Amino acid sequence: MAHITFDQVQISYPGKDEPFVAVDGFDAEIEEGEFVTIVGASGCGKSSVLLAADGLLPISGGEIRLQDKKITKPGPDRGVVFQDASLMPWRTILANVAFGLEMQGVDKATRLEKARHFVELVGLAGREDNHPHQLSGGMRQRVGIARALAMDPAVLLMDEPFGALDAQTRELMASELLRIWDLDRKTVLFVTHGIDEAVFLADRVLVMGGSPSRVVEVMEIDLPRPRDAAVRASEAFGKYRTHLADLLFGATTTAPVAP
Amino acid sequence: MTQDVQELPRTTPPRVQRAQVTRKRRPWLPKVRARFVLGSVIVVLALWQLAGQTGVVDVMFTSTPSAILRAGIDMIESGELWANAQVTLFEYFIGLVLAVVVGVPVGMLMGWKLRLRQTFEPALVALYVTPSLALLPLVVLALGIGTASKIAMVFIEAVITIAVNAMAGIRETDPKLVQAARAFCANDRAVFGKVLFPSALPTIMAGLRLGAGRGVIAVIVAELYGGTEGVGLLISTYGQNFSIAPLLFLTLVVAIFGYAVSSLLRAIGTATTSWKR
Repeated sequence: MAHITFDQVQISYPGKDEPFVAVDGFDAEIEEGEFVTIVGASGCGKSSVLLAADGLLPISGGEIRLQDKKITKPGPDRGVVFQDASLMPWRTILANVAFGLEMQGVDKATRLEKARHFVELVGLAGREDNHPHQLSGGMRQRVGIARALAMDPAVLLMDEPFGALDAQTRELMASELLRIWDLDRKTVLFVTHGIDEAVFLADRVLVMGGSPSRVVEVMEIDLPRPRDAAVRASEAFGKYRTHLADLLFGATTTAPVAP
Repeated sequence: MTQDVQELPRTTPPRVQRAQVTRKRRPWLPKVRARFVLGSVIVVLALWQLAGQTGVVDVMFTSTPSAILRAGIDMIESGELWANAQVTLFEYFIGLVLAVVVGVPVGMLMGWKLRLRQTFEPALVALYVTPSLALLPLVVLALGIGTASKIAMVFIEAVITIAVNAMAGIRETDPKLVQAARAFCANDRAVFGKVLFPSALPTIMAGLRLGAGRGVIAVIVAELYGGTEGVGLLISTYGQNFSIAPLLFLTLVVAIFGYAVSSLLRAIGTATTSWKR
């Protein structure tokens, strides 16, 4: 049984005259412990699919199931990391990380102790009492990841978490994410528009396309784990990368041929 | 060439020393900004005094700083100031506290609940742009010329500003933060208490400051209009007797009071929102 099942999911937005259907017939099965990335052109509804999987966005058709239970609202079994980190500026780093536990009714001493552990895990030891504005974009995103992990969810839902970071920080964060993920290999659904990132992180890449959009291709990424930055230079990586670019931007034959 | 080199050290040290001397703090002098503020006040007061004494302007209307000071000391020594200020302060603080107790929750609820906002926003906005001091005759008719009508005027003036700002504060909350809280299973109460309220707090505090300022104006104007005691009544009485010095002294006292309240609220606001850059 798949861990997460998307069954003919349809997502629509209220339009002027009739609802605008952004996603239709989205089918996917995510296995337990699998790292799946979703790529697609911007505006194709990939973030909507992810938010729907947390129950933050209602779907207009089909079903999303987590181990056979229909998803209708957020739950502690899913942790979300948002594109802009979405940290509360008035809370310290530690209090931000402890937020999910606080909502679960975990007592203060326990939740702060747990939060401290996850702040350390994401490499921010010593910054517990800082406020978000004192941190760089990459650090803030680390806090976002710690906040999601602190609830010990079965599934990690990540909505373009590194999209706003510079290229260098982005690569670093991807490696960091794999390091952390490798510790207990949760099921991860990771939305991105970065081709490199999609291949580097994933066991499988779901490519979204069409209008309304759906999964147009599923790519198995057969690269050895643990992966480090050197993987990016391998021939296999390059092949996956080129194929993905072809799918997303059309055939590369129009591009200048390398000498 | 060697002479040139030797000359250099002899000429440079005095220059360095002089720079150090001018930079040295003289503790009996206030800081630069305070020096300018103080300086401008002193110059204005001196010119005022001079203009009055030399008869350049009619003391009948302008009085002089020294006369104002004397009138003030008289009023303080006779107990006249404190007896009336007590009344005014009482009216002011009761009115303001009521305005906070009512305005903050009502404003926040209106910011939070769409239906409530749709129902009450037109009325609130209408009151916000109405010069509510114009309601004074009506309030006096309803509540008499005693303490109650003054408290009511402070309340009316302050509560609308406070409510409008509380509403704006809630509405300005980043929807992404609300979404994030929901993702971590926050219920309505938690969203309100842990996201909307802390996010709105700086704007709420700004509303309190504005409301407190409008309240000072309201209580004085209400007392000017009619009553049996209070600083406003004193001002009106002295005005009718053409006693300009005590009138200006009282006006100054009110201004300083309003400034102090506003500064205090600003300090509290800054302290409670230290997370803001």
